[in-house]
Amino acid sequence: MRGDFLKGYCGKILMVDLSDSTFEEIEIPDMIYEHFLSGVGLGAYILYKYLPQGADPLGPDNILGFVSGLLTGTGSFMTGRWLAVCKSPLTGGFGDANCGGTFSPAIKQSGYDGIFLKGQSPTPKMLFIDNNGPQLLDAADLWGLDTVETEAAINQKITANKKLAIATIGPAGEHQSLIAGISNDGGRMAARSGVGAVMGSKKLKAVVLAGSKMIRSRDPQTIKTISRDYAKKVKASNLPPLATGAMLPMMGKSMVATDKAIPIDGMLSTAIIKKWGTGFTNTMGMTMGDTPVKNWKGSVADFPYRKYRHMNPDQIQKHETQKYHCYSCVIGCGGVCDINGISKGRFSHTHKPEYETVAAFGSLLLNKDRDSIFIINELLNRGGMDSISAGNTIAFAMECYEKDWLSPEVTGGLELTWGNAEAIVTLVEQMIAGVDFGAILQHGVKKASEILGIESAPLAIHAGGQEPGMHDPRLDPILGIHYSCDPTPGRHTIGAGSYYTYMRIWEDVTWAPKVKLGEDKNNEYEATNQVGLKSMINVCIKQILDGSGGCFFALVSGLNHFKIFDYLNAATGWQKTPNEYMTIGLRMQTLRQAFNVREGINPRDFKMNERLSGNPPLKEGPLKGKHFNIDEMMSIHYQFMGWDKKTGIPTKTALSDLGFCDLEMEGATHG
Amino acid sequence: MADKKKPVIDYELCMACGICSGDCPLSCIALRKTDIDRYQKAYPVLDEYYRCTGCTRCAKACPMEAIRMM
Repeated sequence: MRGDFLKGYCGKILMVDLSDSTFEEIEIPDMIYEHFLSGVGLGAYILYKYLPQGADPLGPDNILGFVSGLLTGTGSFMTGRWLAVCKSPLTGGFGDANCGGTFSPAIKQSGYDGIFLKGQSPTPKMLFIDNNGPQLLDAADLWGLDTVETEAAINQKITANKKLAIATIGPAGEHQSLIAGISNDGGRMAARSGVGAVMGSKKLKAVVLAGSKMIRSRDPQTIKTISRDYAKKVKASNLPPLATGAMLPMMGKSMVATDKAIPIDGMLSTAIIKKWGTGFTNTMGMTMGDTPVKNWKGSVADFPYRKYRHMNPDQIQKHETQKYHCYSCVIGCGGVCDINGISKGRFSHTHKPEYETVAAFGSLLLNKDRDSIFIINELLNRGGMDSISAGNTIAFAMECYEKDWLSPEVTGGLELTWGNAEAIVTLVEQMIAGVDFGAILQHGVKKASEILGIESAPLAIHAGGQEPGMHDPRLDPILGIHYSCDPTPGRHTIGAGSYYTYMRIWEDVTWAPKVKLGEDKNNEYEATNQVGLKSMINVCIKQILDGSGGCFFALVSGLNHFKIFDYLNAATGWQKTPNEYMTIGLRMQTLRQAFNVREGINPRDFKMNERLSGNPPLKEGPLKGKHFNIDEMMSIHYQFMGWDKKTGIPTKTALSDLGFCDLEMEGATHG
Repeated sequence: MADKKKPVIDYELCMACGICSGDCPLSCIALRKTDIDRYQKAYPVLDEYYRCTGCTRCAKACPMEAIRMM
């Protein structure tokens, strides 16, 4: 270890070759952290450098990485998230999936900023790391277990000084479902990009960490001061005790009653999330138009109050027995729910269903059966499958069924009528197991559409193969830009006009436009320079967040409260300005885009399904008539990213300006 | 010989962030005390009193300085 390692990061990664069971520690120069941070930036750097061009995502050449964040473990708050990175089998481009829990600090406590695995093992294995170093252990007896059973079995099997941090796949990952994720902490999922399929292809059942190495920062006292200041604000942010979930639909209505921007303090969102977690959107999103209905072709008129009221977060929280915090979190959006009665003794508990799961298996399928959603939540967590992708895929099947393109003979007797909760639960079980009609749907909506025939393609809602999150771009068109332009498309956490408003980045970044009270939100339906600039800023700050292990809910609490730039300087000893960090964010995203181009992706092919841009427009509901030109929106985003406006390929000038030549990455693909 | 000092948590200051629990090299601290605030968050307790070596790592890591060694 190098002498003065007080920079928040460890300065090295572990590379494991599963084909020959060898380990290599690779030192990472400081310059790489200064250019790409850690986390997703380090992951992109390693994939770009070590992954052979054209590698089969499910073959031995793909690299699967588990990366922590630069700020994780430094005493900073809201920075305990980790990512799985790989070449995505779902999109063919850069893949990543983000997760909380306790796994992120465990990566660094093992002595590494990232743990990367290449090759393929002939038999099931698990990687175990403690202070004595890494070992590959036999995991044949774990193969076939679900994620919760796997954690329990490993805890029986391995005794260590420290509580084990375990990331594992379930049956969906084992049989390489392209929408399989990786679970930790009893069912918290790094769900997206098909990362679980890559883990399954490597016959890697689990990564088990028990290291206790110190994580050292340059200025821990300043970090504590920043943390205490943030904690004080979070502690003071509470809704009045009389606030109930019944008020949320009214809040949603009031938010869309005006076309004018209201830049409220992000701490209001913190107070709401403290009370309900992400579930506050379950009903508020219905009246706002944010929550998709009936495979994105319906509105609240199709799923009215008498149906969506069952998703009131107060009703869901009646089952909550305990709040759940990720490591270093002071908000605590998670919860554990008792479902012993609901599931008739099949499952004792489940993580509180996130909004994404409630929407994907509620309004998207016109399913008002709340109990079924609790069970589906646990089935997917245990099976190791992405709830967003699974819900979108079943919605697609239901629309095909509605059109008589699918018959009960094809579905194995399943009546895929809208809202048929019993059939939905059965289909989820089939998808996880990869059997019966579930075998057709197990790889996501794009694959299912290809199997069922080209005619069904317009009904398959995805961007570049990835099913979109449960937030409607017809309400917030900048969200649609990110669904379509991100190197990991279809993702709802990259950016949106609303996120931009909440984060108040203009207080730190001198060139970021301020959102003024009363600004016309309709301007965001046009491909203007202002829209291009906002979407580019969204991307840059999100990359910084994902390079730091930061939580999205800290970001939208406002950068005036969550002082990420000050944290980074205190952790590393750098003296960078927010503007300089934004250049790092731009560089990180450009590297991910260059990776995609190198792998043969045409960025324009990631354009989301036209239904999401209002083509054709909805005829009812709060988004009635809303539409925008997604092609023009993509062009303006590319332009502000410094990429070719027509093709989305990073230009030679952009790569040069961002210093790729200095990094001996001059071969990075450019337009 | 006097016993080593052990961590004592000030719940007025504690934010239930789990840093002490995650950083303890012997996992002596568990998040399971739920009668502290109106959200029923899980706060830390020293679960393994005799296993704790009094290394002070939890106290040093706590951003809120909510842990005293006593």
